[in-house]
Formats: sequence, structure tokens, C-alpha cells
Amino acid sequence: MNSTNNMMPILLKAALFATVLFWTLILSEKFEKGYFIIAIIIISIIPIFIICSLAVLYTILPLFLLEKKDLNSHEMFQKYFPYYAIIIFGICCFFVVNSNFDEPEFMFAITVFFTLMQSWIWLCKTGNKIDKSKK
Amino acid sequence: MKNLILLTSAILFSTLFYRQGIGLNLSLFTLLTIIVLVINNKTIIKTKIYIIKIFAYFITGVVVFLYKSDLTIIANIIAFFTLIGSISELKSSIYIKFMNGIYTTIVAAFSLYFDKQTTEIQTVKKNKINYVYWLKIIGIPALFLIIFISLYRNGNPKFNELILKIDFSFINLQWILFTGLGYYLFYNITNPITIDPATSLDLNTGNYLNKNEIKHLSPKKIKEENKLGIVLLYLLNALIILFLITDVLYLSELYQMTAPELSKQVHTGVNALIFSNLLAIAIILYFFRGNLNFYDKNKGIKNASFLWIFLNLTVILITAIKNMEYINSFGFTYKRIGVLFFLMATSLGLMSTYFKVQKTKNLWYLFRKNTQIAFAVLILSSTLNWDKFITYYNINYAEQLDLKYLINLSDNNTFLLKGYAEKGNLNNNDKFDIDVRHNNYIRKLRDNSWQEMVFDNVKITE
Repeated sequence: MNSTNNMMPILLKAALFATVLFWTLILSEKFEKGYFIIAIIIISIIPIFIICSLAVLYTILPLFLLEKKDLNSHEMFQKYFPYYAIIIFGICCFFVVNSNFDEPEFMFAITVFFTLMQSWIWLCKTGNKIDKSKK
Repeated sequence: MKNLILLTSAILFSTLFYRQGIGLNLSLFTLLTIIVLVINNKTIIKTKIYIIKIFAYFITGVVVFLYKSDLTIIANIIAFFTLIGSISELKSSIYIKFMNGIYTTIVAAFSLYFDKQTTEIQTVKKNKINYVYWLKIIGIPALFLIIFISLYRNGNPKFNELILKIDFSFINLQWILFTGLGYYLFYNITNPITIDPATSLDLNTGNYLNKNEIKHLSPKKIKEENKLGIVLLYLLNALIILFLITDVLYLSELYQMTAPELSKQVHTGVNALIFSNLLAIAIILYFFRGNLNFYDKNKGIKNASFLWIFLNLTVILITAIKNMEYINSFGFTYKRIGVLFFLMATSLGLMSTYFKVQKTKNLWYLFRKNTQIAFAVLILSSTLNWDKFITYYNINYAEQLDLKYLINLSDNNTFLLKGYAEKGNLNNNDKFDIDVRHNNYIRKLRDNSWQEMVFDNVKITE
């Protein structure tokens, strides 16, 4: 499973995905026009990239690195993705309930959840291409 | 056809939940989910287990409308996940169904997308979307509708008024995104998936211990373990008998106890009981983990175990009597009901341990049975309006009434308390508190949108 070799594009894609999703959700509530908001969105890519990278590198990547058996991406996905998804869903729900269903927290949780799930797909797909090219 | 159902369901989902609290909407969502699942897979209404799960889910949906509480909402969510998990894999254990239900609901679309991507041989070519067809189906009727609406508006002032009254202001980008979330949810639940390793492991594991799968010990070791078990269990039986004798003697003094003494006695008793019962089950499970189940001379250790289970059940019964005495004097509280639930759960745990030993079952049997029982208890307990029940019992039968406790319960007992305040001789402070609560609740009910309505809304309109 060599998907871990090519992390940077995945992290960038995840950050971009999260930025688009997060700001779509935020702006759907109250649409703001002007250069100021565009500047904020562009600047926000930096913290979002950091958060995404930390989340992917500390929660998904260890599963790939610590797996001792030589599993292909499909097997990795089958083995870990369900439990990972359930745990992340549980954490997001806890976060939302604790925040008393406040909208910003709710939107943040939705962004985190969907970004991490999509990152899994990208990570496994990259691994799959590498697996195939090796064969 | 399937897309149309999903789209309609998603729009209904938005209509029910967009910027709304919980109430009638959750009950209608329950009904909608059942209808969508049945349309998607008609065989589910022909299978008994599905019908039971659907019925359980439906009941929890109804009780959310009748008396909304945290318990009814949680029961509804758990019943929903279990039903979806049943559709994923009918024959799995209930906890696997629950896990499959969560997995399907939250990420079936991702999993299916990934499976599609990784499937190397695709025998069926993906059908291209016929955009012209869809443009015709949607565009032409829409165009004609708009033309005719504007014609009729000019021809009939009443119709014009009606059209002007239709308010589409609720549709905005956020509403559309919320509808997208609804679509995602319904897409997921109509495409059930399973957690593969866990589900297949569960399906391949029976309820009985298999002699061939057990790590064999030498006959000498089995004999030693049998002796150790007999000695340990009979000693523990002797100890518990001594404990029971002192406890029964203590029971006669219950009537002379003050409230704090009785409370302390019940709670310390329950804490001790929790630990002793868990230990009892653990010890029995340890001895009957493998070889001793098939040992010819295991009658002695089996009898000692059964006796211990019986004696532990007796301890539970005595603690239940103490708790009931406490309830008779001071009324119900959630904590006291919790104690009764715990005692019931422990008794059921001990009974399932008895069947495990008696019928040479494995640990999975225990998990399966106990989670099934827990699920049934949750659904049944959600059908009772606990706040109303506690209030009714306490104001009618409790020797001492803690009105402050009743006032601090949820809104479900408001009308009962109001009636009591109007009839009873309460002091002005309590009457005032009850009136304030009643007025606040009435205001809250009147502020409810139709989606947030509960049964009490119907009561105040009568």
C-alpha cells in the first residue's frame, strides 16, 4: 500500500474541498458580497490546510503505516474505513450536541466529516493506481 | 423512478426539519422512512423480523409525538439504525445490525462510489445521461405551466390572489443544501451496505461452543480447574448465604429508618450489587470458557454455579424490596427507577449466564441475547410517559411529596401538575412556580410550528 508516498496532492485537495464546503455552508446562511470576504476565504485556506493536514496525517495515515499485512487499497478500505467513519461521525455528533446545535459548529462538523471521508477515497484511490501500475 | 422518490423524500426532509425543532416532524420522518424502504424493497413487509423492526421504529416515532423526551428521541434513532442495519443484513446479531445501520446511513454513498471506482471488470457499460430527454421531461411542462399560470392569473383575480400568496421565500441556498443532505441520507438508506469483516464473522459464528475449536488442556489440568471451581464457588455460596441472612434480618428494620439512612442503604447496596454481580458473571464465564463445558464430571461445578446465580438473584430481589420500600415512602425519581432498571438488567444478565452454562453456549450468545433484551427494554421503556407517571404516582401515593423535584421535570407533566395545583392545598410559592411553568409551556406550545407540534398542542386547541 503505497498511497502514503503521494500525500501532498491529497492534502491540498482535502484543504480545497474543505474550504469550498465550509464557505458554501457559511455563505448559504448569510451571503456577503465584496473583496473583503474573498480575501478572508483565500486567507482561510491556510488554517484549513493545517487542520486538514493534521487530521489526515494523525488519524488516517497511521492506519496505513501501522498495518503490518500487505493489504491493497480495497482491503485497507474494507478493513478500516467503516470503523473510522463511525468513530468520526460519533465525535462530530458529540461536538454538535455539546455546542447545543449551534450553526457554525454544525457546519464545521459537516465539513470535517465529509472532508475526512473524501480524503479516504483519495488516499485509497491513489494507492490503487500505484498498486495497478506495479502489477 | 428511484431518483424521483429520493428527490421527493429529500424535499419532504427539508420541509420537515429545516430550521425546526423536534416534534411531529420526527414522527412523519419515521413514516416517510418506512414508506421509502418498503417501496425500495417490497420483500421487507413479507418477513416477520422486518415487520417487528418496522413496528418498533414506528412505535418510537409515534411516542415522540405523544410525549417528546430525550429517551423517546434516542429510542427512535436507535430503532432507525437497527432497522436500516436489518435491511443491510437480516441474519446478523442486533449489535452488528446497529453498526451496519450507522455505517449505511452515514457513508453508504462513499463506500459504493469507492467500490465502483475499484471494480476492475465492468461488464455493464455505464449508461450516459440523456440530457435531451430530461430537458423535455422537465423543461416543456414547466414552460407550459408558467404560460398557463400567467394566462389564468389575468383571467381570474381569485386565482391571481392565490398565486401571489404562495411563499417560496423559504427556498434559499441553505435550504437547497439541506435538501441535498436529505437526498444523501435517503440515497444511503436505500442502498444498504455491510461492514464486511464484522458482519461475515458474526454470520459465521454460531451460539454454541464447539469442542473442536477449543484449545485443549490436559485431563489433569481440567480436573484441577474443576476442583478449584467447586471450592471457590461453594465458598462464595456460603458467604452469600451469610450475607443474605444478615440482609433479611436488616429488612425488618427498614420501617424504622429515616429517609437519609434508607437512601444510603439502598445506594450502597446497589453499588455493592453491581460489583458482586459483574464478578459473579465473570467468574462463571471464566470457568465455563472452554474445556469444563465438556468435562464428564462437571455436574458439581455446574450446580455450584446455578446455586450462585440463584443466590445472586435473591440478593437482587432483596435490594428491589428495599428500593420499593423507599419508593413507597418517598415516591418515584429517575434515580430510583434507574435502580429498578439496573436490577432487572442484572437479573436478565444472570439468567442468560445460566442458559449459557446449561446449554453449552458461547460468549457471543451472551452478547447477542443481552443486546436483544436491551433493545427491547429501550423500545418498551420509551412507550411510557415517565415524567407523567412519576408525577401521577408521587402526588397520589407517595407518603412524602417532593414537589420541587416534580416541578423540575420536563414539560410532559405540566398539565397534571396544573390540575393538582388547582385542586390541592399548596402553598403560594409552589402554586406560583407551577403557574409560571404552565404559562411558559403554553407559550412554547403556541410558538410551535406545525413541524414541531406535539400531542399537547392538540390538547390546548380543544
